[in-house]
Amino acid sequence: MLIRQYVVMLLISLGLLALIVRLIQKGMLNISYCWLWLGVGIMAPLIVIKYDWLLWFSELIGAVSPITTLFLFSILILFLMCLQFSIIISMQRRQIKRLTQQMAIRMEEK
Amino acid sequence: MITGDQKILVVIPAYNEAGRIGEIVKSVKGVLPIAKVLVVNDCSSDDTRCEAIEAGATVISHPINLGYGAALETGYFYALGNGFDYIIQMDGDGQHIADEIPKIISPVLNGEADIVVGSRYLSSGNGYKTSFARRAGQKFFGKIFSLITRYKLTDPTSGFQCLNQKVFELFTKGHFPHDFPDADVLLMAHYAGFRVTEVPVIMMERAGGTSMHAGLKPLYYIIKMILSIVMVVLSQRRWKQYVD
Repeated sequence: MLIRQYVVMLLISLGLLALIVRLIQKGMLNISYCWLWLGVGIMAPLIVIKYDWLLWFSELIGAVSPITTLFLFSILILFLMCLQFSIIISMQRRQIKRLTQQMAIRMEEK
Repeated sequence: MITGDQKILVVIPAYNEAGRIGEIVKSVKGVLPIAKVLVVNDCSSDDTRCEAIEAGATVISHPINLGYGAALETGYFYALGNGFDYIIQMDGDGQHIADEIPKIISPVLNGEADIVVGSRYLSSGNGYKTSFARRAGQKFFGKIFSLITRYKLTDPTSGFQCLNQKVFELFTKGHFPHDFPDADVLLMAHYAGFRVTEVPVIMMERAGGTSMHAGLKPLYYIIKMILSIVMVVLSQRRWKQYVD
């Protein structure tokens, strides 16, 4: 990896991690739902620093190049995030329904 | 036999049923004066609420539209919270006739069944007409139910039902569908050990309003119902545990 590439990637990945931590600090990202984001934020600079880990892992899974591994895991992480959002939405839909029903019953009782 | 000791709630989910709901409430009160009539107004934009109140019903209004199943579920919560023994559920569109209530309530009161479904297809003198596609869907899901349970079910989409307290207690455990509670919930009740039976009833054509099976919804209904039945079958151990 060229030194310029290394610096740019490191800055981007550290910026991402800092953004995620800041969002959690400010309460804009709930800690219960931030595990995947935090994982991505930690893994990104780690891959830049320990690039040989990526090369080793690519060889392990039989990927042609490290870029393939990165794309594969990016898609996988996006998929997992969508799944997590769907779970949260389903849960919240159920909670909203129950809340609405109880509220309607209470209003009738008044 | 209906006596004054039994607490019976008639739940009528309604969405934009002004012009019909008042008559339905009055006819139910005429046939079953000891019962309380509860109209669950699912955020109607017309006079459904006022009409139902004027006719003598208790009305619970959802502040947002939650769907037919959720409106029924609200009725179950209300019945459970107010100590009702039996629920009769009927649609607010005029399809279900109050005079047929004694037919669906008798097997539950006599302890012969836990859920009674009023079937329009068991009755010989029924003038009810339905489209070929809809009838095919009803037969398909009825067949699936019959294959699994060995009970014959001719009208799985009928919302004209009578339930005892144990059944509606099961339905408030958080797994009742918010949109189309049909063969899947009957299957759920079957796995929980409840006896499901059908009786012939006369039904009318919709007196007006918009069907919840209008537009592209039948397609969604078929896919969703197949998936829902598969899930109920896969979770059958859970339903058994509720009763144990």
